[in-house]
Amino acid sequence: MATSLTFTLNLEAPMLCDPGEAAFSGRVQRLTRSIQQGDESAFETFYAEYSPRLYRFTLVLTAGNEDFARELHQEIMIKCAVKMRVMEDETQLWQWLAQVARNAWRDILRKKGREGRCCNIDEMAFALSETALEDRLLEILEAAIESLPESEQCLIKQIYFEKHAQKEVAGMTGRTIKAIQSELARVRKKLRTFISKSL
Amino acid sequence: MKSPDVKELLEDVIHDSSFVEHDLVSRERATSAFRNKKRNAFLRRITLIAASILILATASYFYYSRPARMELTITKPPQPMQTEGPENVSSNLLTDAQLLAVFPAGSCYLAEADGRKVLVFRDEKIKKRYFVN
Repeated sequence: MATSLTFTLNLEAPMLCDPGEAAFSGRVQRLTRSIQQGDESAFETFYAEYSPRLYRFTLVLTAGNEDFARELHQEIMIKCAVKMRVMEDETQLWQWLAQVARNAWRDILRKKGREGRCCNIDEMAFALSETALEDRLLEILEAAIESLPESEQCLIKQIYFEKHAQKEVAGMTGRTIKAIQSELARVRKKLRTFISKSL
Repeated sequence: MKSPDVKELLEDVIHDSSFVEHDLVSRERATSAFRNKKRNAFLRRITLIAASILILATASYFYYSRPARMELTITKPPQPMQTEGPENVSSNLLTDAQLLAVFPAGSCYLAEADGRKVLVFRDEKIKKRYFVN
């Protein structure tokens, strides 16, 4: 819900004392410059790297409404393709992306003429920090896992935390790999639904 | 739960197969928008260059095809023909004495006939020596 967005704004640029971090900033600068100069492979790199992150962001902005989140995500990626500017570092880029997202979201809402079940547009200004967004999602995910029945929790634990292969889990439980895959897909969907409802 | 493991699970939960499909479509549209922008930028540049060339060509055409400017040259008016006058009897002409001095002394003299001075030779042989006819 809109009122549940209590993230702290983290707009301050990171201190670039770490050479690795400085190199990363240089990389952002090079990447964005290449995109601006029309390098398609640079745009593809940008897309591969930022698309999943932006989707998570849009999912939070749209309060878990997947249809809106996808529409917004597509709109943002198209705007990035057309309006990309040279960015100094990751922080600046993320701030710009958040700004693009906010404007695109406002346009979509205006176009649809409805508010739906989504965040208050002004409150979204506080959701600019990607770390805060991810923390929020992880927090919800943990709650979602806890809400699962014991057997499903066990499956998640075996696959994701104990790093067992699906074949191993199938052997341990005496089930087929297909059955494991199918249950895993169902559990993931359950978790996604829980996250969407919690946002 | 270890954070990286939860993150991996989060990735799998959120970016499921339906997201992958959506992402492919989005990527295609974004890439298409990117190409359009690139093409438009190229066309804009070409148009700009073409417009500049056109302007230059037009300017040159008008510059070189304008009527030639009238050249104002000051020329001296033709000098009037010098009329005879005592002061204009230039030094190119011989006086009577100078003329007579050209020939052997006493071989000729000046006579006046019909108001004109005529050189008369006393000896025809001397005259032939100086005049062809």
